[in-house]
Amino acid sequence: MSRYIEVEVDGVTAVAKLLEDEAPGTCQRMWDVLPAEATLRHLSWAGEGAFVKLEQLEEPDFPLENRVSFYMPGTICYRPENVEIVFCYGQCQARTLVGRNGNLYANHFATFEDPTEILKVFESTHEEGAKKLTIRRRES
Amino acid sequence: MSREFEITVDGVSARYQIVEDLAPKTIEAFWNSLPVESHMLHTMRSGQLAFVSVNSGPLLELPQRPELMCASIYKGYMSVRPPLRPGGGVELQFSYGIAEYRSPTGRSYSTPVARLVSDGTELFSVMQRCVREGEKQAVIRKVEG
Repeated sequence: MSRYIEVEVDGVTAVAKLLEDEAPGTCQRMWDVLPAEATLRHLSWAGEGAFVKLEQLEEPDFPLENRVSFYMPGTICYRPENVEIVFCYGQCQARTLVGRNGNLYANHFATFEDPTEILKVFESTHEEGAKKLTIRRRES
Repeated sequence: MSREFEITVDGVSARYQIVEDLAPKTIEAFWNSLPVESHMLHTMRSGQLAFVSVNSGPLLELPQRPELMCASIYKGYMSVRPPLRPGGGVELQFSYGIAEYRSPTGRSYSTPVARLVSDGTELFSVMQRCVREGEKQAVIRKVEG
């Protein structure tokens, strides 16, 4: 049976399905640390997306699985080396400081069921600044 | 004597000096656009850089190709990104650290126009805070005399 998570920010809640076949390790790691609260901020290097850092996810040498470099809007991805969860709302690519040229990768582990409203909130962080974000298990 | 301007964001001011001769057309368009009252936003693709949008005035008449193409915008420098299409807006880009100008399709270019000549510590802090606090009012004016 599929598992789902809820992401809440700025009064908007959206449900995302965990991709347990494609990224089983990442899904389990995420599930184990929920619920979690963090500060959502806009990306500075990667484009149209926002991110949270979840230090509790840290695990040395956490593997890449179902890896992507260019994010799709409505996807939720995890960058193990930065313990960052990235929420993409437009054109967005895993990327960091100039000194580390080339594409980076992230684990695509969940996809929103209906992201329409929450993508607007992610976008709003560019002009409005940081927002508090909550991720929790969706109990059925 | 080199021309100077002052930028004020969130109550913090810093002074920049025009880098004369590097890009005369861009510099004149910028100088003749002052004063500018607009907003400062943090970049989403270019790193440690914030920018002020300009949507009217002589800067919008610049050709789309930057006069002096630079991708790396050094800390303390201000660059002008010309309109991406005729009549489009212009970005005044202020670097506070490691910054490389990028568009959605990859590396892109802008024209360096000025460099910081006063203490920029507080201004850099304001630029960095734009990530957490969002856009801020910005005023850029000539320093007379």
